[in-house]
Formats: sequence, structure tokens, C-alpha cells
Amino acid sequence: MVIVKHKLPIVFAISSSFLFAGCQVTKPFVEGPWVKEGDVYTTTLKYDSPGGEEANKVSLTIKKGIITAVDFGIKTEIKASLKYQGDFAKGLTGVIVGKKLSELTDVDKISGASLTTNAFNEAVRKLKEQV
Amino acid sequence: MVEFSFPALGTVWWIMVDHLGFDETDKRKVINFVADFEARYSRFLSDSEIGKINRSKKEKVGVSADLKKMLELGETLQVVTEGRFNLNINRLLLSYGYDKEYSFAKRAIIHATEGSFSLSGDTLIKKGEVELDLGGVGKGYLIDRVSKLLTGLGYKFHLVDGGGDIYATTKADGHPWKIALEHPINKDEGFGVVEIKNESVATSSSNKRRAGKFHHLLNPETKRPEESILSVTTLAKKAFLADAGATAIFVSDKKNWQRIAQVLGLYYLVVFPDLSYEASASFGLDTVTMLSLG
Repeated sequence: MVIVKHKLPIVFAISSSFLFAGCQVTKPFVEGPWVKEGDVYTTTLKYDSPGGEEANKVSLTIKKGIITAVDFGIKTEIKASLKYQGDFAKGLTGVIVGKKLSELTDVDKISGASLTTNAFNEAVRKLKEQV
Repeated sequence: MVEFSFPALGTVWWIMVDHLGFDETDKRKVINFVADFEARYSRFLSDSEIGKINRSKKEKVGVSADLKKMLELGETLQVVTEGRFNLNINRLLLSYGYDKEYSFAKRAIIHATEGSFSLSGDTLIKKGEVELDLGGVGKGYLIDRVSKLLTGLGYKFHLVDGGGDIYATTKADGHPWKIALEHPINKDEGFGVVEIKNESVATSSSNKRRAGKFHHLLNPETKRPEESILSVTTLAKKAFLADAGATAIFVSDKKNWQRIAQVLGLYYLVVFPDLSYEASASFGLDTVTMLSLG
């Protein structure tokens, strides 16, 4: 199983606002969901800049758990924006993929352990057996 | 490492201490402390402080120091989320059958309460219909209190898990604790691992407390369960902030997420129904490992 660290360039976006030519640039946001076509995942990032609203289409090619290609389609015609759009590569969006909890070693606890009513009742039943 | 668990607040709690033993008397103290908190603040108990406030016809009601802190955070988040986060939601929850027995029985849909509340010193001022529920602020606050109690009892290195919302100190050797982030759909899977020390990780998920298409995170504007997000995981210095922030982000417009993060000093990771995710730029860059893709 290939572990892809978060820091690999699977991710884009930006959430903190950043300074642009002395103006505050509004937080960019992912316009739509990631669309999967074969091995290629695509989405659109939009944001407001001093030059107006801009959009970027972003594609990832993922084969067997490894990102083999990243296409950051820079459409903008505003040259000053280009430099800052490079910063998007630091960002943080992607697609989550699970791995069996039983395969995760050294984990102390689980966050989000969704205790549905059934799971809760079951847990209580087990507790009662112990007591 | 010693751990024990007990049921409280409608979920299972786990306490882990990185010490050689855990005295039975101390365990009892922890369980009683949590039970006492629940008795004071549960909306399900008519004798609780919340139960009394909800039943009271008075416009002004005195509040305890603990409740004041929880209500203050609720008020702040109500402003930051433009009204989406609202502690005055008890009647709406009940109308969906999100009651003491989690019956999710069909009932007449009650329109959201139109009333509002505000704090003036130690006094709660109710305007119109006000029935409070501390969901979103109560559990995290309690987790922090339990952590403080454990430290006071001599268990300096510990982890408090209130049904998946967690605060942890360091381990005895100074290392962080490793927490798997649960996959919002496949519950026997994780999608990431986060390392925490002296901080909290909390998750709001629409899978939790779910019955058919109704789950417990309601949008007070549409009066329907929120459906555009599968789960929100937050990292913050205190469970109080992580827990409240996860709920607030879950129910609010995307445009307010960053503001919530700034106000509470937290990082977030949101998973959408198509399993794409979006996280704040600094979401545990040093501590989070996303698991394999593809």
C-alpha cells in the first residue's frame, strides 16, 4: 500500500487569505466537486482578485495510489496574478481514501468514531458484561 | 498505559492515562464528575439547569459560571455563522425525534423557535421562545474539564475521548498521541492519521446519530438536516473550541469557515459527499498524514 503524504502536490487551494498588491484577496474556493474521469480527477477553483473573479481548472491523474500528473490550468490573463496562483500548490484539497482501521498500526484512538444508536447500545451491552 | 470507558452524554467515553496504574477511586471520581455535569446541563433532564431555563417563563434567569462560558461561545458562534449555529434549537431537535431515547419518531414539525437569547453578566435574557440545547459546546467544555480533573488527580499524561472528540496531553515520553480520522462513510476505515499533543481533535459527522435521512445537525434556516457535508474535523488548543468549531463549520456557509477558524484559532478539514476534501491551509501540515489515494 502506497502512503501518499499530505505534502505531495495532490493538493491545491488555499484557505487563508493572502496579500496581493497591498489588497486583501478574498479567499479562493473550490467551485464544484471533484469529477472523476478514468484516472483523472478535475475540479475548478474560483476566487476574487483585484482584477475580478478568476477561475482555475485543476486536474490530477492518480494511478494505483500515486499521483502521476498534475495539471494546473492557469487561465488568467492578469500577469500579476500568476505569481500568486503558484501559491495554490501549497493548498489543501483532494479526495479522501480510506484504509482499514485494523491495518493502521500505532493508532491510539479514532476521531469521529460514529457511535450510532446501535453501536452505542452494543458498547453499553459489552460494558455491562464486563461489570 | 491504562484505560477505561463508561457511557455518558449519549455516547461512550474513554480515558487513557500514560501512567502505571489508575486508582479505582479516581476512576469513580471521573465518572461521577461527568455524570454530575450531565445532570446539570442535559436538555433531557427537567431538573437540570438547562431544563429549568427551558421551562422557565421568566425573561431573566441567572446562570452558573460554567453555563455562562458555554453560552458566551454559543453567542459568538451565532454571530460568526450568521445565525446558523444556534443553541436555541431544542424544540427543532425534538420535533425530529432527536429525543432522550433517540427515537427519531415522526412528529409534527415544530417551526424553529423565533426567540433569541443574550447574556448580561451572569444573567440570561430570553426574548420570546427560548429552549436551549448545549450540543456543540457542552461536550467539548466537559472534555477540557475532565482533562483538568485528571491532572489534578496526578495523571499528568492522559487522553480524554468523548465519543470521538478528543483532548490529549503529551504521552509520558513527550511524544504525541496518534488519532485516526474516521472515514465518514466506511466506518471501519480511516482516511488519515493526526498526531496531537496538548491539543484537541473533534469531528462532526452526519453519520453520527442518524436515522434515515435525519441526522442531528440541523440548519435552522431550512429546518432540515444539513446535507452538503459529510464530516468536519477540527484541530484546536481546547476541546471546547474544536468541538464547537466542527459543529459551526458543519452548519454554516463556506464563506464563513475561515472566519470561524480565525475566531476559534482552529484548523479544519471538510469532507464532501463525493469524498473530496478541503482543509484550511495550515491543517496540521506537520502532523497529518492522509492515507493512500486510488
